[in-house]
Amino acid sequence: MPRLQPLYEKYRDRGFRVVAVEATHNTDAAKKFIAEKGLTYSFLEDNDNANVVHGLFGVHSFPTAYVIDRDGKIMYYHLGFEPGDEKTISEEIETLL
Amino acid sequence: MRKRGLLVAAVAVAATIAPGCSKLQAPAQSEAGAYKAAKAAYYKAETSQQKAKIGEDYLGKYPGGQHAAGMASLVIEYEGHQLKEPDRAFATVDGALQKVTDPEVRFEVGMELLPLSYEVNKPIDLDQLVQGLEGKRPLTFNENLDVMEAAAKHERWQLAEARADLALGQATPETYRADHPNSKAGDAAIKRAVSRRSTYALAYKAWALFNLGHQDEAMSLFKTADKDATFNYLGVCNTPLRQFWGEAELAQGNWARASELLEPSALFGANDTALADLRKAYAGRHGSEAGFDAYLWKERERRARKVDDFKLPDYKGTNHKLSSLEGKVTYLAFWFPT
Repeated sequence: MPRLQPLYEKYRDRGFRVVAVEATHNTDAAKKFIAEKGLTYSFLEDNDNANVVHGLFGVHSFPTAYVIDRDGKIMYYHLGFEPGDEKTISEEIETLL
Repeated sequence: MRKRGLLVAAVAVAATIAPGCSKLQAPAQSEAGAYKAAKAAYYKAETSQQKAKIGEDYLGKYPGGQHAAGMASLVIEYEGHQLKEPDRAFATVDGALQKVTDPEVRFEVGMELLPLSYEVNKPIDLDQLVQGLEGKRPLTFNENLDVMEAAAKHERWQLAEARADLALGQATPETYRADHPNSKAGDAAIKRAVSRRSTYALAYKAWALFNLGHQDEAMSLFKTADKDATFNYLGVCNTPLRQFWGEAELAQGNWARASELLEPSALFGANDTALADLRKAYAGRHGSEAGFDAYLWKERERRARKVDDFKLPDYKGTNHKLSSLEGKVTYLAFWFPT
């Protein structure tokens, strides 16, 4: 998650957003992590009623991410975050901005 | 392939090894202390050198420690891949592996080292790792799956087929429950998990059979397995079934059928192998790769799904709709703190 911060800062003025949904309701650990790492993009927390992560999106592997274009269409998807993935994600953002 | 973050891998590996299984090499308390310190250092480390050294130091002191596999993964990733010193990384981890007697730890570390061992042309004996562990207990489904993956990747087809048969025998509710004694999963969830297990095993079995020359049997097995296949939010098959099937069609020159099977996996960026295969199918169909990128973009737009809107609270308790946070491009990430 901290590796998304530079991407967010690089592209936010051109309309790039990062929305991170925490899946396990681990509120204290999540807040501590966000504060310690100085992450400034949007964070939301899933809950049993909404059941967004497991129910709506059927996500079972973490981290999973979708890159959504200006029409709300999912154009790319990522499983895991390995060293070097920043470059791939940058290229995808550039094609969509 | 199931990608994992490195530290997530270290934590997951730690959880799979029973505590106290490596008492000879590592007194429990100091090993635990060393791991805690290594984990804290990892979060602070900024360079690949620093991260590789954390793994090296741990393995130097606790080659058979509970977290040896996770630490081996640090050395392999940061020294072997980031710093491009695969021979040195191999020597470090293999040196640690030679000192380990516990078959549990040997298996975990050996499986981590296996891909690198092929890169540096000193393949580890996969059969020996498996037999060592089987001398103590049968492999779990997930371990059989890891061996199937490794065997298929390195074209050890007979081994892949044998493990697929064992994994298929583990695709039952009873075995699933035995592997997850604390799971609160209900009958429906267990039924899905079992079906996923059998699809995985059949996919590997069919792919191994195909590569062993039993093409007709393999193609009919792919069809059978596909009846239980499940697909993710983007329509990508949840198991490697469609990819193997697509590769089998590709090998037989059935370009259109191969493309159809491979497109969902290849289009959205999460599967480089499927993308390379789709490129071959395209070249087969059109005589060259010219126009592949344009075709890819067009297919992606055609198959792309509009994201469902949802509403969730932020950490101040304010509810937000995804649509209200969207920009021109949105990176929607699902995570949890480790």
